[in-house]
Amino acid sequence: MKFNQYIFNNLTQKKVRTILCIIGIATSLVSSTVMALLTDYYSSRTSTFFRPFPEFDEVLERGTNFIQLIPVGSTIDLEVKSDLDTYFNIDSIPLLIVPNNKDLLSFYNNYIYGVPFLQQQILFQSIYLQMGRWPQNSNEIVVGNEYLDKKELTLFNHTFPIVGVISKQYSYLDRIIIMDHSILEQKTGNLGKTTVIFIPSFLEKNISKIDKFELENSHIDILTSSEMEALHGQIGDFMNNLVNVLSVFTAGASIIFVFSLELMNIFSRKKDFDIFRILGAKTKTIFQTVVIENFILLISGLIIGIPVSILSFSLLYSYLILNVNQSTTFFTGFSKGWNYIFHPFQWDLFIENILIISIANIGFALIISLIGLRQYKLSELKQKY
Amino acid sequence: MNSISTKTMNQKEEIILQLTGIEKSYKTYSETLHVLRGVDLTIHRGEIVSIMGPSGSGKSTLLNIIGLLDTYDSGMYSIAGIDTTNLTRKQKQQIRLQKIGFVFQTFNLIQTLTVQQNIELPMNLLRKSQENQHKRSSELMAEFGLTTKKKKFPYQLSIGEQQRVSIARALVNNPVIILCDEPTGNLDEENAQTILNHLSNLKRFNTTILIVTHNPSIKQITDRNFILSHGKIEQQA
Ligand SMILES: Nc1ncnc2c1ncn2[C@@H]1O[C@H](COP(=O)(O)OP(=O)(O)OP(=O)(O)O)[C@@H](O)[C@H]1O
Ligand SMILES: [Mg+2]
Repeated sequence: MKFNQYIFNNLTQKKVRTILCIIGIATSLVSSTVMALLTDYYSSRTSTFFRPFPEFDEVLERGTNFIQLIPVGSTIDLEVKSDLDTYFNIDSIPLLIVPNNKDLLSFYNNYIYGVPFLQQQILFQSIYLQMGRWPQNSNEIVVGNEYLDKKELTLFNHTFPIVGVISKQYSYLDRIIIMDHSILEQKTGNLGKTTVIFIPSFLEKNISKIDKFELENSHIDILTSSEMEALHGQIGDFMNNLVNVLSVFTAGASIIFVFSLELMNIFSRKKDFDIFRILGAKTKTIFQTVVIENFILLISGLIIGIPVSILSFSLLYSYLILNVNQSTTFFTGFSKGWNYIFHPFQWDLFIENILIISIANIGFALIISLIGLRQYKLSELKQKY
Repeated sequence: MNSISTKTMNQKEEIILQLTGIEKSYKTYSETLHVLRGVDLTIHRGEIVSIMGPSGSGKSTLLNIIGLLDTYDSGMYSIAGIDTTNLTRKQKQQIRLQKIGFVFQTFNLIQTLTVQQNIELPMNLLRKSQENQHKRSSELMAEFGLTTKKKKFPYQLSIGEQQRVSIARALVNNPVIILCDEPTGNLDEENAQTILNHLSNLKRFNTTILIVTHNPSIKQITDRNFILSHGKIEQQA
């Protein structure tokens, strides 16, 4: 008899236990991997989702080619805008116009498109005329939504060719600003009248000017891009923390899962160990069997778990992303195709997960068998046998 | 085994076990239970000796001390000429492996090993070669009528067969003594008789056997019988 025979027999004779252990290890790897990768991916993307204008300068630049529609019915104070223009001595400040809540709903129900710069003024004029509220000479920033499958759009008797679509994530911006905005309105006591003006970064050098202007016009909040960053940072932090808590819980749950499998495994063998000890086996020999056996279980678990992890993450990922970004062109963070499967896969995180599970597995096995062997004195065995 | 059987009469007087004034008490938090109050026992090579006594008299305790599974409070105990007073855990483990064979009431076979593997296990722990292991286990399986069962697992055996496997396992490393705690306790009369016959057959190999039992028919096979009561041991006439 070779001693490995004992390990082999254990694995092959207690099939249910062996299969359970392997599936358990595989499952914990899959769940912790998918959770860790998706959350990590999500938290890295939230910085895009919650960034009002991911590339502010680009948006400015784009403003010369496109307009981005603002939701109908937004509050805008033209006087404030022209005040600002004179104050900062520039032609026109790009505006971010923040809708009220009810406007936001109608905004979501209408499809908003990007239209070429040449058409802007006509568009703005017609909207302004109809709604009585729009700026007349605006190349300003407006929040947009997506819909690319149409080539052109007739809005207020004008037909505009569609040349670009603002990605959906801008809508997150609305919510964020609205929250902030209403607090601002409450604070300033200017309900329904407050304007939030988003200024380009080059104006931020005049920070004292901005402060002064805000002091003089309490109903106006000038959002600098650094303030936007800060706002984004808070929300990003919140999301990241949430995501971290979630992945810690998943990792914890899967480690406890592996731990209980080990407990089950080793305590089912306690009697064997006792007999070995009585017969005169070295503690080292018993440890060896535990380690080798767990190693085999671990490797089998990983052999199943690794491809399943990759596959399930990729499927989930592409499913989620396909749903989110169907018609985005401005936002090119994702490209469709098979590279989904490997492109976003965070190998370092994955390997980290594999290592954690492996170490937990072998470590638990050792700790439990150490406890199991240390706990009793040989003299107590006689009571049992 | 042949090497043992060719011992001369002179060597039969060789002392295998010597216990003098062994005392053992168990301390619970409320009281101290004096189980052994000075046990003197000497066993020579080739003897089959039984110890009887009422339940709770300390028979298993004594057997565990002899098997180096338990410690004693005072007295002197030597096995095969080795004084056990100052042995380390590792040394005790080596003596258990090489010099003592254990037979239990509940057999204590490894359920996931076959008959042959169970028998070879203690040899394996001594790192004996595969060849030697097979040779020795075949010998023993033939002796105990287990050759046809060699690939069976313990749960596929009758209890009598299981006890025979455990005796074969106890013998495999040619120990100086076999310690049996109630070897027939779980067996019916017929199986018990078979086991006793097998143990008695070991006489021809000059095997030393110490049996603790309630079974009075043990006297058929023993050379000497002891009674343990009130912490003292006495040889029966
Ligand atoms: N670890 C222990 N702690 C405390 N008391 C113990 C311990 N082991 C045994 N005893 C007590 O010591 C006494 C002797 O026990 P032992 O098992 O040696 O008896 P025994 O003669 O083998 O009995 P039986 O014939 O029923 O097997 C009993 O009263 C038992 O309760
Ligand atoms: Mg007993």
